[in-house]
Amino acid sequence: MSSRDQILRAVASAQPGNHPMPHLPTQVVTYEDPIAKFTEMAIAVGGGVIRVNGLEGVKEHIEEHYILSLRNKWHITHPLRVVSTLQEMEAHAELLLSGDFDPHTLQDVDIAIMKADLGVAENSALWVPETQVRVLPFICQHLILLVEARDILHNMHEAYALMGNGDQNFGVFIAGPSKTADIEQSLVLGAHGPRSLMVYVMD
Amino acid sequence: MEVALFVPCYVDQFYPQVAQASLELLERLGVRVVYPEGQTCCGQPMANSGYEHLTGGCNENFIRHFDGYEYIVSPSGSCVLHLKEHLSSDKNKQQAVAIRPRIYELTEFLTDVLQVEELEARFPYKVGMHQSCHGQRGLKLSQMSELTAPMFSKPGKLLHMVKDIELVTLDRGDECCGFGGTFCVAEEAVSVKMGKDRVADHLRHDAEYITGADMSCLMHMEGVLKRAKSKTKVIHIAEILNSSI
Amino acid sequence: MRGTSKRHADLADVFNADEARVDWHDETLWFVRTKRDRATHGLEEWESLREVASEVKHHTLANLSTYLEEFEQQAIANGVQVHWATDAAEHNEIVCHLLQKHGIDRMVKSKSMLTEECHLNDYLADRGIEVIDSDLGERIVQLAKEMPSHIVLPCIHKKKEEIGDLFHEHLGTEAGESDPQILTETARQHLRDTFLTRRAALTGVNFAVAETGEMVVCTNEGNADMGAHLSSIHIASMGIEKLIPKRAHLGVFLRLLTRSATGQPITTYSSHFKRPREGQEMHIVLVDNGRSRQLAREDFRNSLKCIRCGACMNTCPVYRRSGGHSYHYAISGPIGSILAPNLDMKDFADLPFASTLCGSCSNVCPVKIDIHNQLYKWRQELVKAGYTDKKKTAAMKLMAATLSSPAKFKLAGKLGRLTLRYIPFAVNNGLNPWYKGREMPSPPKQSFGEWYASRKKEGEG
Repeated sequence: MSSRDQILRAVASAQPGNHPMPHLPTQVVTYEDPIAKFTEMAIAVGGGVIRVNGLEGVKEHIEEHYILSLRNKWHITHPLRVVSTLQEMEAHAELLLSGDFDPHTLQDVDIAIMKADLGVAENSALWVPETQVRVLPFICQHLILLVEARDILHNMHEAYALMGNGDQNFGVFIAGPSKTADIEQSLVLGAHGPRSLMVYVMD
Repeated sequence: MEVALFVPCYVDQFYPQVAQASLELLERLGVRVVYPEGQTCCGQPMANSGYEHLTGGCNENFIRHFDGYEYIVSPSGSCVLHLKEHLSSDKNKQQAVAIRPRIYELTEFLTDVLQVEELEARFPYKVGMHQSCHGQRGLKLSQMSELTAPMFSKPGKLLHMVKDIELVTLDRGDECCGFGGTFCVAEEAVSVKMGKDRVADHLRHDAEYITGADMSCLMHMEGVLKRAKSKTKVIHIAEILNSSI
Repeated sequence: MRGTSKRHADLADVFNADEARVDWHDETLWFVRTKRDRATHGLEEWESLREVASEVKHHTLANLSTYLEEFEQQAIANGVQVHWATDAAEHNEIVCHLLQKHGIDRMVKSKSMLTEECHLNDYLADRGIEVIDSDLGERIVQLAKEMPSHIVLPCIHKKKEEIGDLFHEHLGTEAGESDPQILTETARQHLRDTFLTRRAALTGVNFAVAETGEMVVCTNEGNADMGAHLSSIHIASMGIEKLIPKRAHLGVFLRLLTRSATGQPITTYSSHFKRPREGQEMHIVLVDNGRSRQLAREDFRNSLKCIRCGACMNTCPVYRRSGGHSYHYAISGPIGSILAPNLDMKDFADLPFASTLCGSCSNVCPVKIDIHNQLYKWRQELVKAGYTDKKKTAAMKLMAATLSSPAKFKLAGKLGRLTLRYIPFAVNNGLNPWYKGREMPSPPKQSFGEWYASRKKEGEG
């Protein structure tokens, strides 16, 4: 008998009698102002949030404030490699519009600009589906995520209800920059992934 | 109202004043107290060590002495919890089943059955309240810090009725003292450390007495206090509620 | 005994030789527990969420064989290769074979307690395959040649100075450097190079969804993603109990996991792997290794609900004062003490006794496993199976006989309260473990029974 059949047979004979599937919780937290809650949580997990007026607002803020303060804060003097999966960012970033290349070539990306499908107020998580290159939101030094204000939901149950079973090859909830507290519980941002996360909430 | 008093073995042997105070307190509250002579032990020392199968004799002895009483009250949350969860008998199955819900820990009996709202007691000292785990988490005498639920405390409610008592707030409100039955000798190092840490919390807040609804934990902390030659003493809650200094 | 014993009590005794360190360990973990409290007490639905999660897991365990087949079918349809391993040895063989087939002798691995359970690293090392653990805490214990002492915080037992020494020796940091910022940055650079140069990555699995065949991996560091997305072969090892029926259930479990674990509202990354990248191979190894046996044990099957948050360790007053290594098993603390005896009753017979049964573990458990009740039940099983000390059994028999008989009890009391055989602290001398750190109770003049009898007599007279 194959290991598969052996395991399945052992499990089938060991499992308890049927037990009904419970309903998902109905009384779930909602917020008067989900964007305010989202912002509060994003900052609490080490991220930044700027509310802007559409894509134009994003571009304007990146050009006039973000890059400058990033350079200052992280003492960056070299030319920045900025990439984006958004056609709209053409004038501001190198575009990645196809997944047909070696992900290792992204190892020197400083800033990645991507769009999130939705955000969740209770924990500031943003759903980022695979767009061209899976490793991009992890390998970049700094990550910028765009989300529409109307796509910010209250809680995780709403997020999964909206997404359904999707048909994405890969997707990730991202909440804040990469971090660790493995050394004596001291929080350090920038473990292996991005050192910072900036979220633009677009009206 | 008639109540049968169950005095745990170690209380009978080492802390008779706790049983006396329980008896007198119940009598002062107008209850007729019966002490069935010949009672011994709830069986927990064996059961918690993995020898529940050796507790048959204790169970039979308990059933023999307590069958038929509407209320059985004991000044020890741990023993009460054990009886509620594990009292059983092959010979006297029905009696065992009938007894289980009739067993009450002293403070829950006072607040829930007698519904005591005031007491004559006075105890002009700074007191730290130890939440014994089996009473708190097992019998739910007080809300537990782990849960997202409204706070309450049955022993705390009673202590608040005592005149001139000053209750101290602890850093860790419901950490275990490390007694744990045979754990206290089988895991000597951890047990002692837990006892020391628990006592230190009370001492940090200047408690003159450590009280609680379970004498076994208090016995453990007393051992630690005495070794450190501390002036702080342990006192069972029944003794405070029955006090009239 | 010291240094050679594998019993929890002895290892804990060694740990307690340095009291200041015990205090530090206890406070560090208590800090995590208080963070957990802050994160959970703010959510009104917390207790109902735990209840739902527990019920979902109950339902899943009741239909596990069906869900496993559904998951397999979906995963294969997604282009993932599914393997089945009945035990640790088979798991290790499968992983090794996959690597050898591709001519790979170096692999990067993100956190997987299952591979610790299977001793995969040692197995591969013996066959010339180097594994680098990429979770910072795991990398640290790997450099120290130790086991993780905690499932979520693998090096919580180590001080930053000790980590600094390790990094100085292995990664070339300045001697004496112990700043967590600098040490973490060093590990970032070192592991970035590893991620970029490994063709194979192994990850654990936090949740696997039967209806979609996808698996979810949660990390704060992003190490699982860095490894998996840069590799040409991704192997995911998972215990068969990690399944959940529906994708919507992730909403429940992701809300519970990190709030319980570290007090965070969610991990930084909750990655949903469904299909391999273009040109990449994705493998899932489904491992039993005793899980079906535990499923058959009615008293202990609830332990398979565990989602490995570590909350029971952080709250356990014994764990905090004995350290994870005192449990001498990959999964330490209260939950480990229920899981380990399932694998080997003889080797782990001590663990269910390493608890005061205070019950705090059951209260923090996000899937409401009745941990302390299962510890109690394991004690009964282990005694019945003969895995406990014969002297203890003899003492217990004598104690039971004394306490069963009112006459013997009375006599034992009369003979001297201090030498009552059934109370654990028998004699007031240095050999008695009670007396080592505590004083004895002072014996009263009369027992309550004697006092009551004399009072009754007076009343009658």
